[in-house]
Amino acid sequence: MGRSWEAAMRAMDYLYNTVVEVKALEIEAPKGAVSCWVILSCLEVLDACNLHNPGQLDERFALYTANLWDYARKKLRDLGQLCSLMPGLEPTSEQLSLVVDLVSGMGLSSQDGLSPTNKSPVDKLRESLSSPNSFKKHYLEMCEQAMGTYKYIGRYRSARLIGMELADFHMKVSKPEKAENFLLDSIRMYQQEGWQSLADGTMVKLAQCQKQLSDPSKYLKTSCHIACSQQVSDAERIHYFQEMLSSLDQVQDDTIEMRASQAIFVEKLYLDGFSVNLNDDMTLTVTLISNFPEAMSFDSIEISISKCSEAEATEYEERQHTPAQSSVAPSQKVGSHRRQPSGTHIALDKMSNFQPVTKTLPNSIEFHTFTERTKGRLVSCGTVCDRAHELLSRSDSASSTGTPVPLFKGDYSQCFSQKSVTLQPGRNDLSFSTKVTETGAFRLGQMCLAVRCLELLKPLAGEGVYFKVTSIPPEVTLKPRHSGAFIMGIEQEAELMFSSGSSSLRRESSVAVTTFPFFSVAPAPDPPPLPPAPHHDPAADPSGDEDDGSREQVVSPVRGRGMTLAPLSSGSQQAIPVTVFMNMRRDAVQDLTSTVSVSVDGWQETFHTDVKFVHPFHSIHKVYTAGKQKYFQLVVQGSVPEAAFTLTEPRLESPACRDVDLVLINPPNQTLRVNQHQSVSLLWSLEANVALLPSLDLGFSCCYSSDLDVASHVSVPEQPEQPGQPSPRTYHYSCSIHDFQTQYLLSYAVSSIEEDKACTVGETAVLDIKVQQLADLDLTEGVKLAYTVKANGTIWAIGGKSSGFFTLKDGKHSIVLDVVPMQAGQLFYPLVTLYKCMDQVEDASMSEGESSESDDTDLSPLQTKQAKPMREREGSISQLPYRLLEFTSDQIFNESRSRQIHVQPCTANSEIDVTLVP
Amino acid sequence: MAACVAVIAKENYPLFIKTIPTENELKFYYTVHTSLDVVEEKISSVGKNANDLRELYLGLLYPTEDYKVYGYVTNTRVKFVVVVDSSNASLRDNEIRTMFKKLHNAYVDMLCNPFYKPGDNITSRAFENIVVGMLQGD
Repeated sequence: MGRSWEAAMRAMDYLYNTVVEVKALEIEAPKGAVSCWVILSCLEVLDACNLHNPGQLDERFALYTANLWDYARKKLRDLGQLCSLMPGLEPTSEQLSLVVDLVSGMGLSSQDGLSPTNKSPVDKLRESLSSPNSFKKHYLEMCEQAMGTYKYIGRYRSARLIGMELADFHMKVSKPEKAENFLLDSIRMYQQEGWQSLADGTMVKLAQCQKQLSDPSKYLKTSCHIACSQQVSDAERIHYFQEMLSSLDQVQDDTIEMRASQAIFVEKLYLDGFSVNLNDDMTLTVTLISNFPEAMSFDSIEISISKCSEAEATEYEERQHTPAQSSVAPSQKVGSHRRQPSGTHIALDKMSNFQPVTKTLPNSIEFHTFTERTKGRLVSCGTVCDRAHELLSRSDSASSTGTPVPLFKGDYSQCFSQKSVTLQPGRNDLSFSTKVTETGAFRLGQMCLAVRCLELLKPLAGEGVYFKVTSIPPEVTLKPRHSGAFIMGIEQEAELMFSSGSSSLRRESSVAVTTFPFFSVAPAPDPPPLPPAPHHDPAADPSGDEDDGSREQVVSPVRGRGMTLAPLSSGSQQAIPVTVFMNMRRDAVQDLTSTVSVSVDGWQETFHTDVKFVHPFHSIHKVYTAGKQKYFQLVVQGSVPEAAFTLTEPRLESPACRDVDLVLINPPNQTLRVNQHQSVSLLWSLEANVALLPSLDLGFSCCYSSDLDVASHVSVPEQPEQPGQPSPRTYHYSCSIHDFQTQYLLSYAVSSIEEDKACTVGETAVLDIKVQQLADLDLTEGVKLAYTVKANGTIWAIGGKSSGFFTLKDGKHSIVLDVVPMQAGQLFYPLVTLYKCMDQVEDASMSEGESSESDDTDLSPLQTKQAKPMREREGSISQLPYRLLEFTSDQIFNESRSRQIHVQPCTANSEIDVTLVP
Repeated sequence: MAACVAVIAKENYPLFIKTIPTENELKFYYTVHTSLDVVEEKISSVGKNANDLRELYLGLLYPTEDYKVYGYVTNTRVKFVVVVDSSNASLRDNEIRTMFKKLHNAYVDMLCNPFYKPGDNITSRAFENIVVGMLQGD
């Protein structure tokens, strides 16, 4: 009927019940007899079933036969135990006779003629009881059969249980290498299913097995695991902890790497900042939970740092900055160790040397919301899980995902490190600090806890702690020591300041300085042992973080010619004293910017620095006139706040013209000190030998010295008797003056019409203008001149022509105009200005375009005085075919400028108009 | 009465195991673990039909010489496994059923605790007391 399996099913129940009944009824039987009977029954039933089950193994068939096989196996094992047939046991005579009894109890072998491959159950049992060797053979065979059948029907757990017993057996026959595999299989399964207690219990067996194997490295790992297990009794843990320590001594040759997951939990990782400067210290605080039963001292604990993409780090940073998350994050991390949601507590990381075959779900699935809008209208929204593909991919068919990912020791070239750390059982707070010597984005890669040859590794990538390292490039600056800016023309003490920024200089390296011509940067001479020293000392340490030692190093190499930069740690500064000199060129008037290039060997880099030089002096010249006498004034003022100069030997020369003598009016031994707030005024009178003064090119020069000048410092105290020895620094100023000779004297006066009477408001007065040509000039007669009289209309009313032409006769001319004062008080004279008249024709080539100003005669008198020497003007006389040309201020000597007249108020009026004229 | 009571999560990891005081607790653990084979087998053989109102009580999972292992699966596939001494002949199927019913009720009560996260190991004292009562055989 093809239901042979039913026999097996029923036999099972029957056998169990009978055994229980026999026990309950306390039926007397020789020891082992029941077992023998059960084995025989099982085997007989199995044989019978097999006989009637011609086809292949049927699942149903297997379902029940498996149990029978298992039962028979168990009984055989019991028998083996009883008769000391198990390996490692020595049968006593009693046990031997028991065997004989049992064998005889089985009756005679029924069919002797059967082939050896198809023995009857009785023969089999008899044979297996006959000797330990054949017992072993039969027992293994039976185990194999039971396991195979169990596996066939998918009862892996049962199969593994047999496997473990098999492992026990193998260990007894001293074949631990076979046992190990069975145990590892079982442990893997238990761990996958989250039966930690079973896994760890099996682990203890594994440890024993591996001890037999005399594989210290494996034994070490297993001991370590057991020592940290929460499921094992304390005594056992401590025992294996000691075992671990002792086996640590045995393994000496190579390092053993294993996951630290079971032993050490990371509860908290905290970096003190997200961004750090290159070569700056970075601090990492770690809270570790040690599961070792006793305090464990590690040789070192290192946390590696690995590069990651900028984007990852930025994302992390953003997450850190969301306030809600940042406060929750640490507690979540703690929680993730304790929380055991369905199937996820089997955290991948917690399995010491094993990997689950099935995929575990993460304990949190990250997703984000998205909204899509077009033109402000919501089109769609939803939630997106970026890792959906990864999470939803089938793991049962893709066997590759199940392959264990071995954990290797990562790259610890960059790491946080601490030596000799002792971790107490439970919570430990550690703090690491390191310097990162590379820029970029990083994350914590792995933690390595090393004890002698054992290295416990813990991947930290999952913790997602990122940081960025930014670099500050090295910098070189040139800075004057005693003043705010460099000053042209003097040799100044300065400092070439090297700030290393983020990079460091490991060895001494030479410094080469290149500059443009006229600009020199030289190593500073040794500070003289003489008094000037105070100058150096206060400024010797410009950067507070430079210690004395490095300062020594800086000074000494400078003794030789080249400059050398001492080794420089990152983030520090070093100053090399130098002297800087920018030659003051003759034509230099303004500030100047030059570039200095400093190349440093060690950095293989050339730094270009702009250096600004300030011109030390600011000079103004002016020509003064008194009648025909001319004076030349030069005002020299300092332009730098800190610098004070002493000027000596002022000289003014006109190299091109020998007809003019320049006589200095200043006292000869006057001390000329110049600084920003103090100017020196030098005045020369021009004594001409010729009537007609030419244009003069004047060159001014003087020697100067300054406190800031290094050259003056060094030389003066050493050679006081030879003051001329150092070439004095000279300042040159050149200018040219022209059209400065006085040609006409202009004088005018306002007086009352009546003699000896004061002017009164509203009454007509006389403006008498006199123009005189200077006699010794042979100016051509008949030069046409023009005059204008300008006055504020509220002060003066001018009667008659306020402007007009005239020609000098005998070098003289006078004009009389009526003017009426409109106000009382001290009044300035109306301003009279002379112009030169040019024929329009001959002047046509000159520019015009001034027509827009053609009727501005009423402009205030001041306007005409504006120093635009050759500016053409058209007055009210513009209809005339002439152009007016202004004289330079030096060509006309106006004697009456700024003169005033007292005008009395009008007496008759009842209303009194009082005006205060300032 | 019972030798061992176990509550096993849907994913077959133990939520709670309590055995009678014995030296070799692990033996019961192995037994319970192995019984999962049969439990899974029984669930999968019935669970094919969605409308099938499955009997929660699975009955005797497998006998051994010393112990009998009974199983019970809730609708959320949380498994209860009870191991009883096979020498105790007085235990009838019905009594095992009531035992499971009691266990199930206790589990539901425990689950109602808002502070219990489904999937966590059971630490409730009330639940434990009930289990201990079952082990002592009241």
